[in-house]
Amino acid sequence: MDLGKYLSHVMESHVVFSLNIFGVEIPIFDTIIVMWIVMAIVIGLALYFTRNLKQVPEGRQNLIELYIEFVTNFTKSTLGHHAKYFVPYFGTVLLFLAIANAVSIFSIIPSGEQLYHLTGIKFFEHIPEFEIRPPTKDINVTVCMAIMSIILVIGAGIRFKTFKGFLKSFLEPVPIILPFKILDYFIRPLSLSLRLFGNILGAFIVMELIYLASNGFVIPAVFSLYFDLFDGLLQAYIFVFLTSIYVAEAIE
Amino acid sequence: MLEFHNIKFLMVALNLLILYFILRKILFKRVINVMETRTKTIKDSMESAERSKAEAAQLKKSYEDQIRGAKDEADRIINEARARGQKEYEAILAAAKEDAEKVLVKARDEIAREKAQMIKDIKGQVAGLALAAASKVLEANMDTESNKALVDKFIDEAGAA
Repeated sequence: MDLGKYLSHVMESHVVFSLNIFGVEIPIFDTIIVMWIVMAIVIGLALYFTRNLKQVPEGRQNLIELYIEFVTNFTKSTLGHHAKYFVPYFGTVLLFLAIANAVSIFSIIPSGEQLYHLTGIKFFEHIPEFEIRPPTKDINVTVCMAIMSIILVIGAGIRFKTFKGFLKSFLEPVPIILPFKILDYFIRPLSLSLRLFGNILGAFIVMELIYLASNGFVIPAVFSLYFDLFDGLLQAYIFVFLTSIYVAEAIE
Repeated sequence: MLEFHNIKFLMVALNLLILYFILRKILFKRVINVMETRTKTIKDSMESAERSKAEAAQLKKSYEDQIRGAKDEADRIINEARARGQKEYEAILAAAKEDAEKVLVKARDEIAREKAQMIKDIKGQVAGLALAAASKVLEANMDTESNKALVDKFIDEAGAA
């Protein structure tokens, strides 16, 4: 397998297995499985950190309060007094994206294809290919999240300005701006999704190349700090931050 | 790489919504609830502390007023008592003085009266004695009445001299 083929192979998401429900074949992609893993991590963390909540916080309760305080402050700074309706959604998306973007640092077990590439021996031939890779390198995930963000923006606009007020906001400050305002609602999810997708996919490819170049010896760990952890957290923050700005613009 | 897959897309959306509702229920609502309750508790206790402080200050002020009033009252009572005592003392003293004066005057009068009586008695006796002595000396049977007048006159003159 040459390098180009290998890279395009790891970039794509694969069907790990398929479910047959009422005669309908439902393929389960590795993206979805990693999402489930991330969800399990997030929910597990949430359960662990909220066990035994007390009025006077101690230990881990301080950490989770710090996180929620952070999300609340950052939501308040853009949305003001409407913030409390959006804190759970932004907090969820931020937590999910932060872990999903950085999840490949947990892929410590080499997959069959990596072992084959490194050693030339085919291990696990009958086990479906699966490796923990960031789900956000799949454009379906980022597009879905961006569309949910824009639905949130529109919903917030209608909820806080009424339907009429929301429609009217397309003509403000001058009616001639209408086409651009409409365009906004297509460009914004596009830019949101492609920014996230491109960053994570780029970081993923760079990391794959570094893996191949160094044979997985120490060096990837150093680069992983930047490409997986830092870039992943930064992109998660940017995604949520831009969403909150769009919401603020819609409800002001 | 860029292909759109509707089942995957739907599953992602479903996953995210499930994650959102679970996290909202088990994480955000609970923690925010605890935080808000704490904020409220702290605010309440601070307010009540403030109130108690104001109350205490007011109580202190009223106690101080009361103490000051009591002191004034005590001063007033003592002064009054002192004034009354002084007045009574003076009254008693004056009465005593008056009594003493009265007694003195009475005693003086008594003395004067007794003296006068005594002088009168003595005069009488002296006149009798003089008469007896004179009659003895003269051996003459003098007219008692006229001689007695004579002797009285003599004694009066002697007394006056």
